[in-house]
Amino acid sequence: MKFINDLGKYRAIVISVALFIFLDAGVLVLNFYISSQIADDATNVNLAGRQRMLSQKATKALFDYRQEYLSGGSGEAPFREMLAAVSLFDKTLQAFDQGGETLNASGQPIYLAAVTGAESRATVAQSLEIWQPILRDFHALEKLHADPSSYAVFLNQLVDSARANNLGLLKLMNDLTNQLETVARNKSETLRMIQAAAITLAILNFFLILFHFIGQLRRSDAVADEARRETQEILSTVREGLLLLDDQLVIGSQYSGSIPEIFGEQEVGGTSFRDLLQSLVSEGDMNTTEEYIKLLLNHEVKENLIGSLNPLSDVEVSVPSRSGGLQVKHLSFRFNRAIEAGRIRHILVTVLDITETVRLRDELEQAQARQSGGLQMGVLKELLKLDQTALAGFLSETEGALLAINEILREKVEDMSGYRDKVNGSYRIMHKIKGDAGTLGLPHIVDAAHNFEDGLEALRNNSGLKGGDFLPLTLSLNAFLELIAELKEMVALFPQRKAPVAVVAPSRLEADKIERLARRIAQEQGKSVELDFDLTGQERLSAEQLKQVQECLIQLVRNAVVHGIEPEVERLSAGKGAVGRIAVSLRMEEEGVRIGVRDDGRGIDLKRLRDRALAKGLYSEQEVETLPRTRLLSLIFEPGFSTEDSVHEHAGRGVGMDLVRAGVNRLKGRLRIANKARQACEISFLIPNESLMEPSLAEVV
Amino acid sequence: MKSETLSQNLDQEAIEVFIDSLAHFYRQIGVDEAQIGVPYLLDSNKTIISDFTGIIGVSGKRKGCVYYTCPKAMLSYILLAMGEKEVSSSYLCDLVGEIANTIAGNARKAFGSDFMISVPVVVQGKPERIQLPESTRSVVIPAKWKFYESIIVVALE
Repeated sequence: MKFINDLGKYRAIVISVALFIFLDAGVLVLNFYISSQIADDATNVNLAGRQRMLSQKATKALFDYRQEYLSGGSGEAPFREMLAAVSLFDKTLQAFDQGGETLNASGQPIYLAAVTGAESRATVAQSLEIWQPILRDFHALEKLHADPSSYAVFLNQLVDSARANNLGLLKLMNDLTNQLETVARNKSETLRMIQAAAITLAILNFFLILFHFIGQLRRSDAVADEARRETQEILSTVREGLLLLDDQLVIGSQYSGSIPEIFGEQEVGGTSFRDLLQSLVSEGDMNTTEEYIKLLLNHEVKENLIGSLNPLSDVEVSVPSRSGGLQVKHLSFRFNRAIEAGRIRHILVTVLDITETVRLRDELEQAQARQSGGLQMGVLKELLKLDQTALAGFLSETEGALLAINEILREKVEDMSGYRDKVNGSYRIMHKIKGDAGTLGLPHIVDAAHNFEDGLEALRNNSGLKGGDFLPLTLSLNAFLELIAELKEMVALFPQRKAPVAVVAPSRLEADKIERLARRIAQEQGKSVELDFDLTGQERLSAEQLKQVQECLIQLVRNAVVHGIEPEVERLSAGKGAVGRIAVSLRMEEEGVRIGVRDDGRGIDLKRLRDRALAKGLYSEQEVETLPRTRLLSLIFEPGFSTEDSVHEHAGRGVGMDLVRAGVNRLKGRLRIANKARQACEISFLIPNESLMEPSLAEVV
Repeated sequence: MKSETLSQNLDQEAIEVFIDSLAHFYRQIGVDEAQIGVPYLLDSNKTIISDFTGIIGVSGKRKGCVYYTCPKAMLSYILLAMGEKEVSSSYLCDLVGEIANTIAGNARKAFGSDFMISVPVVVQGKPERIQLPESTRSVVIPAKWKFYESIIVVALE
């Protein structure tokens, strides 16, 4: 039973086949059995037929014997023939009745079973009834053979008796033959039926196997196909290069679609890993890699202990590109064991193209180097002092001039004087660059030009000048061009301070900009704010004023978010709503326009201001205590005065409020602080009427 | 300006190795030496390609590529001068490959592990595009042999 269960999905097919064989074997056995039965029946039929013949033979021999005997002959031959026929007939009849031995057609002894059918038994019994007296007479005749006196009489009686019973006996034997034939026919009929039935069953079973299992095979094939297709899909989609190595380091037939892309080779299946990497990595690395993989293939080595030995975790290679050239790539190889049933079957190789990552990393490093670099800062200071337009013009001109030198170098020349012309032509151009740079006050460029001139001087003094001697010059030309390109890039980053066309000033306050800024700062500080704007009446302000107001508002809102509004938790425990509210308003007052930013935050902590003023050494302890409230509050507008302990992007440098004060001064306005500790704070400023445009004029503008 | 000078020296050494390799090749095959012209700069988005080109990839301390390109007639001339009877394309490709190999081999010897020099790729006609480093100009070194001009282009980042 366990065996059957172990067969799993093949159980049904094995049972069906077993059934098929069982049925076939059954038919075969039955066939043997019934065939032997039929053979027995045929013997019976033959022997019953022979009984007919024997009865006639015995009777005829009796008649012949009597004839010969009466005519004075010995009658020896017919007599013997008669006795033989009688004996065989009797023996066979007894066998039919009781079962027993008799002789077959060829005189061999043969066992005969007693007949079974009721009809046949009756026939045999009837025959015996007739036969027994006749047999007795025959035996008596045999005994009387020596006594001639009564012999003739007895013989005549026997002949009469034989004549009287001959036909009856013949008929009975005939019946027996027919009955036995019928039995045999019935048996063979039955056999045919059974055979037909068994063969039909076997065929049905066969078709069952055929259709059921072909269906099952198809289904499992479809499942396997689907699995294969999915694997293919994964392999063709995955960005990493994936391949398997066997213990001979030969690449398996299945690998991901990005492998050819990464290595620029179309077919890698079946080739050795060494061949794939040979032209890409150094011999030393290749050998180390092979040793590493062999270690991985060794069961006894712990995989995570040897990870650091992988020599290909970041390797730079040049691979052929599709366009026919070569491409530098950074690849990262990872090797992992593929374990199946406890054995290391393969090594899974994962190849990542990390070119982009490396490029970004390098860029970052360069940017960091640049930030801390002394050269750049020095150059930057130089450039910032200059008029931007003039500087941009100079840089473009210089670039053009350097390219002109390149053209001079490129021109084909035939002899030494040609080389001399190149040197002289370059000299003239470079000298002008040096002069211009000096006039503008760019010592770095003056230096570069000076070095270039030194190079030219060396060529000038070279009596056997050759083309190859120009190489250092060409390279410093390249370096010079790179310097100019870098400076141009830097200049492009400067604000256009002295641009002739002014930046178009906004004709309205940009509330959305302020709101975005406020939200960004709040988010960074883990606070929530909501802003309200009421800016009606801003038409009375000129474009220049609007610009100033906008800048002040930005600083004030920034200040409100950073210093005023508390973090959510603090607000909730103070019984306020979680979201801080900031109201930005512009309202007409009697004396002018008041612009203010009001927040419902913690207000300005006067004690903190005092501490700060003291710490900064602005006042003595005594002075601080007696300082009027307004004076104390005005401290927040002092440059470099910040209540924030640490410097971050949005506060701490003490610059923001200083900017507000400067802006308000330019607007000829007056600042006001309305502070309610722990509840609210509004910082506002008034732009007096005399600075405002007439309402009618404002309409026109 | 210090870093500039450093890379400039490195470039100069590298380029001199390439030039010497070319001269070495001509000496090796026993024909007249090529005349090296004045090197000049070429924008990296421009390439000069002649009929046959051997490209060598460089990685390591400096990255990019070096290629040698020359006209078909010149290669045929050299082959005939070497006593070859046949000047079919495959022979010409082999010859350019040989030149590029000499350059690559010498470069490997000269630079050691600082540079990785790839096996040369030979291209007949114009390759769609030779991948040159974007941020730098390439240095073009013309080399004249008989009446023909071939060039070495060095594009290193």
